[in-house]
Amino acid sequence: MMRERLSRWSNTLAYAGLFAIAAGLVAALFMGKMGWVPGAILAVGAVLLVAAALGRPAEVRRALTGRRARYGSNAVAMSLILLAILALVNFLANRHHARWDLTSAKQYSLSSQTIQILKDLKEPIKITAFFSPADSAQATLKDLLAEYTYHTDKLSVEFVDPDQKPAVARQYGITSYGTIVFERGARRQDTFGTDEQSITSAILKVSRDEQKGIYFLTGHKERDPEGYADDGFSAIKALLEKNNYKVGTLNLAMTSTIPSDTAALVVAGPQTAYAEDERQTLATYLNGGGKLMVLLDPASGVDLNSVLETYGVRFRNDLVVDIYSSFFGDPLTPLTARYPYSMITKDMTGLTSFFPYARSIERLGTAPEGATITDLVTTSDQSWGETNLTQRQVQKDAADTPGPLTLVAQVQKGKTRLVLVGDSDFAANNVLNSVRGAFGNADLFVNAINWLAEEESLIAIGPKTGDVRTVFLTPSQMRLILYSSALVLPAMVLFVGLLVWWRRR
Amino acid sequence: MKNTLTIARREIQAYFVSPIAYVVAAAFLAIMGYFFAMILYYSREATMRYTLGNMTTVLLFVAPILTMRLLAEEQRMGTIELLLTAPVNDWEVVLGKFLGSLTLYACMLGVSLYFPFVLSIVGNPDFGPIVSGYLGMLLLGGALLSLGVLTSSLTQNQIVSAVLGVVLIVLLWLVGALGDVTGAPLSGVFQYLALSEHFYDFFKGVIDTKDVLYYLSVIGAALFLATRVLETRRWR
Repeated sequence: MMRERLSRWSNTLAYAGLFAIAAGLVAALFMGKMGWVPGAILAVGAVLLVAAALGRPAEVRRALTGRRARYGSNAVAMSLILLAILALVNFLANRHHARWDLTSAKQYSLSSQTIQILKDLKEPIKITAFFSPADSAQATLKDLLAEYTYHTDKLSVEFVDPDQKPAVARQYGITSYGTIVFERGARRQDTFGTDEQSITSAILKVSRDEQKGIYFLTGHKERDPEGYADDGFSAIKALLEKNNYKVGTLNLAMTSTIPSDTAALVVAGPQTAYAEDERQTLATYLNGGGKLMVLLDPASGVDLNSVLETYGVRFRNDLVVDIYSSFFGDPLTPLTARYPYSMITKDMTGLTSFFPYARSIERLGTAPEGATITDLVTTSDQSWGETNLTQRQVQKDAADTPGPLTLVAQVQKGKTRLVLVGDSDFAANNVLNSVRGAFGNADLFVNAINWLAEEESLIAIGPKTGDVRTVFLTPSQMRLILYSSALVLPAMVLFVGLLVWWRRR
Repeated sequence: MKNTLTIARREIQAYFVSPIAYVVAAAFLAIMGYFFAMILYYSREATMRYTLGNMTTVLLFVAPILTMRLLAEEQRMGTIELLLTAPVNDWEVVLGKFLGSLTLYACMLGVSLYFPFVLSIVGNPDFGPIVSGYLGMLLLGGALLSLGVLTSSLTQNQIVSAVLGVVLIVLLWLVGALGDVTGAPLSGVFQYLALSEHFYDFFKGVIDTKDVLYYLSVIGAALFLATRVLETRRWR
């Protein structure tokens, strides 16, 4: 009786069961997990199907053991085995694979140094690149980073469009497009270069365990790397930390021992004079291959020239006036994009920087034996160095130094490295925070520290010339190419087809 | 193998006397020629990279059209029974049909060599990426054609076969996006499975064994499944 009824309703039950199972799966899909609601619907479906099967026991038995079932399950099993074999082969091939670079410039072959560095990586490094999708540099970088990830599984790469995901950009403190952030644990290293040299150097830096120390001198009202006020240097400190440096302070009046992890000392805009002992400590440090950055404002009353003159440079006692190239028309804030070539300024082409209330730097007659002095930033030809700081009317007098004047200079003598800047306002918080990435001030500071810390040549990889084969076409050539490619060639194929069709008719 | 080649030859002959093949080839070349000329005009670069990259999307629709007739028509006409009862293996039939369509496609690519030829006259192209790019096109095309053969085995109707082919290919093309939803570690698997994730290197000038193996695997799997489907006719 029961069975008869079941058998009569068997089809309906089966359809209802299948429908319930489909509904259960859809519900699970929408809820994103297998909760009790989809579970219950699935269970109902299963019960209905079992009931349907009970109604037609003979048919079910035939379907499970019959000829079709045997062949069918055989075909399914064989297909599954083949897919499993293919999956295994592909899995193995994915781990051990060979690549051939067919480009004539070997554009996609990494240098052996890079490959070795990648093989030696112990901990995972996360690369986050902030690019606007329209930027062609993003495509180039993607190609290049793809080659990196082929050599190691320790690198993970993510491209972020800062306009699409402003929250991520803010979280990373990104101020300009094209920033590439390398992270290993809590360590971080930023870079802008999209060539192999920059990428490999950044990987090297972030995977290094010891951090290089940058020490700011204190005790003479210098700029404070902890200072969040407008005149503080906390923005610079944050930038240096993004570049994997440890930033600290040092009072030479308390100790004459320079910490052993020191990569460079910074004298940032002192307002009271250093004692003779402190200058002696600086001189000794420099003499032993030390690295020093000096930012000195005009009329500060601080004289370090006795230390600097050994290296052929000194600060002039003047105030730079530039009425032709200045920041928003303030002649006392020279604005310049003139960077003679150097390791510090090589990537700064096209970036302007400005220096509120600056003094100029003077070279002494002949450079000392073995020292190379390079001007990094210079002012316009029309500028001058005003020596009479008390006169009311600012004008060029006979006693003033004619432009162009040097605002930033670097000196290298043996292992000793020096960077002199005739201004300390240019890197203060108010300047860096208000102009963000629009000006080169921050880059100049960080590049200078990188050079002082000997970070600029961690690895030397010859730059690959982007192998772009440009074609020059006259308009008539272009038309000829367009018509022959898009019209004549397909028309010829159609014509042959027409001939064949005609002959067969 | 001899049987396979006989079947392939028969298919090639069938292609070359039917107007459809010429229309499809002409359309393919017209689109490619237009891409080629426009990209050359705007980029002024002697490269095939971007032209080939754009053609992959066109290929997505062209491949099922080339293969839609292969097994569906035989099933509709009932001639498949003759083939299956003839002293040939099922896999020889499937492979022969596939090789026939692949030959036609290779001929289309062969005619399109006119474009790099133009580049070599007006400019100085780097031939390495062109060689690897065409190899990539051949492998990708082979994979798409084999999927078309699979859907052609499923139905007697050519149009249904073509539509199924496009759907299957588009799904396999975009399956990588699923990875963005599921997150690691499944994302890697989905990305690897996607047809669209394996040709960039060829076009930029790099041949990687794993990309070659991926496309060969797709071809192998699709043809194997098509053979199993044909086999069901023996016991269905």
